[in-house]
Amino acid sequence: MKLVAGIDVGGTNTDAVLVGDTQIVGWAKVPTTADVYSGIVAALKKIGGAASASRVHIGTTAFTNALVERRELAPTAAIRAGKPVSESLPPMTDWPDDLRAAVSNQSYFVSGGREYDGRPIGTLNRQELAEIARRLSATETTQAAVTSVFGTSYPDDEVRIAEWLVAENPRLQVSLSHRIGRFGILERENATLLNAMLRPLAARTLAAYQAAVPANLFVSQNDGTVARASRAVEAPIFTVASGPTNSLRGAAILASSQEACVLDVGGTTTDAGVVHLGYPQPAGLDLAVGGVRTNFRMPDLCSVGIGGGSLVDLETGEVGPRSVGFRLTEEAMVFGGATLTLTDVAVAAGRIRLGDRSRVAHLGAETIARVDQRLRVRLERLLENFERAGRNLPIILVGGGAPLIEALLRDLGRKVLCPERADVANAYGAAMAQVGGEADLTFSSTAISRPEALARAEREAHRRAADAGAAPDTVTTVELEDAAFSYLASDAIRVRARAVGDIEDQAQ
Amino acid sequence: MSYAIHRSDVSALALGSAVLGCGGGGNSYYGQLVARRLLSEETEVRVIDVNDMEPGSFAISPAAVGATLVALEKPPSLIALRAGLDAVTPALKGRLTAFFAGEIGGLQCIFPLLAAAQAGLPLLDGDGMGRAFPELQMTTFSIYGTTRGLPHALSSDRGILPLPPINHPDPAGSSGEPPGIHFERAVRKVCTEEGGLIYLTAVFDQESLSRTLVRGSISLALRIGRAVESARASATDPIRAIIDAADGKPLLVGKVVDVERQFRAGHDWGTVRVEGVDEDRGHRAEIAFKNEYLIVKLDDEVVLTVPDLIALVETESGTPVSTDILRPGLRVTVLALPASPLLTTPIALKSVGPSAFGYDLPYISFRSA
Repeated sequence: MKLVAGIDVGGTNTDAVLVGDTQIVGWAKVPTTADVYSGIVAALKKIGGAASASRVHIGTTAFTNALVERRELAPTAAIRAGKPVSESLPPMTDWPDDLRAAVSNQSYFVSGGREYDGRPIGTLNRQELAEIARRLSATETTQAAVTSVFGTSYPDDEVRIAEWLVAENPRLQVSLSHRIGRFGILERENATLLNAMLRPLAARTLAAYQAAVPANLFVSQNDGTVARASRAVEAPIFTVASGPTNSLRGAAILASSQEACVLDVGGTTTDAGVVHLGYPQPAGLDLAVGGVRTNFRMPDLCSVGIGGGSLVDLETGEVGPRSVGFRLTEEAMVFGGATLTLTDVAVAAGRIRLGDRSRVAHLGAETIARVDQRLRVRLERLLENFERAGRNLPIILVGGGAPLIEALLRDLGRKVLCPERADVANAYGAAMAQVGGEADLTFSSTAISRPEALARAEREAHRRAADAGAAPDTVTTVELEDAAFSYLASDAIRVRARAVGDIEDQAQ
Repeated sequence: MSYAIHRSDVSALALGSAVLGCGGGGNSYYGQLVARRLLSEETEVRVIDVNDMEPGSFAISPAAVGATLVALEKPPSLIALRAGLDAVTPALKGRLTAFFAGEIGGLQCIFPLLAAAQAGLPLLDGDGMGRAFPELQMTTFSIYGTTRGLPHALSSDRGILPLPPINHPDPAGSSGEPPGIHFERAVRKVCTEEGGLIYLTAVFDQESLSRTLVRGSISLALRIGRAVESARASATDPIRAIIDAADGKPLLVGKVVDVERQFRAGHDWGTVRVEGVDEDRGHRAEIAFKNEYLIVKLDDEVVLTVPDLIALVETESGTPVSTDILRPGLRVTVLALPASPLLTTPIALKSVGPSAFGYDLPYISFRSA
């Protein structure tokens, strides 16, 4: 049996699971260590060592933290092709001042770039780029981020620019916008710049992980897929929102449900998200990373202040949003404290056994019913946010506070799934990840029909998934959408496709 | 009555304009960034009523024409804006005393604001729509006719472009088509050839403007934007704030459950379905759009049509939702705002009523909804 290890390096704990044929065969929770490395080694050792695993998938917040804390970021040159188009919005417009101050990035506008229909805006100029490459060499800048106008649809200019830059300055590492971001020049360029700024850190970090892991190393990405470490060093920005994605996906697979609403009941809040085709439904809004707008999407998450430590008002039956949080075992009544929490009510109602039940014996059936009524209304509202037309999604309940509301959800007529090992859903989500590919293309469709345009984008996404290591016969399309370029007499459309597939182990 | 606006008002103006954009008019984020970058802290632009303009003087409207998606790769072009202004200014037959927006919706008010700041001239409190519309003939200027033969220019990053004839020989009405539609078609051809986004700079005279301008729309956008910003700051209901600021009414609070779109004849057509939540549970709305939201059906009954304003706004944040970012799962409130009386006369409805968008429906007004 082929074994895969999934590791989630969190702020507090490093979780690891060993998975064979989708089943968890070993799991561990150890404290995260300052060097990260020894925590990973300890967790792997507990699950039987990485030697038995053919692959290790790691979910990490290392790069997100570096961006948020503005540390270990490499100075980068922003190179934008399309002069004079877009000069009104130079690179790094709208960046937080402290981030600008933390890295001394340079910016250059060069000739090149395309119109929506593929015609060049200007001609690429090798001299111009050689001059920039020499200047970067002089300032010992090792990172460049190249963004060309309509680069996602016509990537050739970016590829050519990178070739010319590296030919002149072989030490230069070049991040290309069409491989990083989507349509929307500023957000795509932002993501490409952040990526470039993270690359030296990514190389160091992933080398350290690899040293801890004597197996093929893969890294969790925002969209619920993993990338080979050798690829992740080139695109560390893809990892910044992988945490919530892994936990939603992990919960869904543990519960064997491709379409579901996931509720994670913690001490202070209950967080809800929805999976569709096994992947989290993305939020409508773009994701700001370290205060910089990018066009990545986060999973759509919604929170309510209902958790095990939530304060309960006896008069009204209202629960939360204030909570005793981590002081539950001191302040809750069943633990000898003086604060009435949701945990106390659940103990009184006989839903869970915790602490000293006699201490909440004074809570009568009427009080419990009043609290339940309020909770039902609020849970129903929370769930409504995720309901699509004509569907009654099953609910996957995870988190330490799950037993507190399980019965109430069943009262609402909902199907409730409480998977085992939900406490390591995040690491499990990492272990179960597939690889993916995405295409965001523009077609000037007087020559090509809409179905053909959709098919081409789909083929390109499949090609990129296979390129990322997917077994071709397992690749399926998970997203396919098109939008029109309003107001153009020629019917130009933009198509975005995303495909995922299982990792082909032989290909390693 | 005049007042001054500053750099710090740009975000409120952009937010309010996006609400009045009715789902169209372009992404205002880039326009806002350009304005904030170019206006200094000390810049002050006076906003004046058209009747305070010097009689016999002229005003210029600089505007972007093109595809909103293209504008995401090609942000506002200051080169094109400058070229357009330089082309029309020498041809003026009198004093230039103001700038104004042809369209308040979306990002269009950014260009006249920048031009006014640069020239040290005021901005007129008004526009030619009081909202956003997809085509040039849908302005009050085309509908009611303005002084003919005043200078116009088309421009792009490459400079000045050939200008199609503005006044088609076909007399208005004789072909049954709205006035100005020939110009619209010709401009669109140039736009498509020129990379999908160009700039139209037009000169108008005070007399025409006082007759045709939708007055007060800059103030309205500012009022809406400021109301939402202060609701966010004080954690109060942003939807209520919009309703109070714009004399609007909520049609449905719900979530987007389905978006169907189709691409026909250069425009983004589609339908978005919203299912009610909370107090509106059990009700549903279906909104048809052609770049902008046009018709609202509430539980299968048409309750409101263009030219009245339909806005979809994120319930939580008050952020307007444009047609291009619609997706299932968004939690939105469907809002109705009244149209300017200039848009609801029988003659105007031929250009901007339901029939102008191909719907066999009478105009159903906000007042009856």
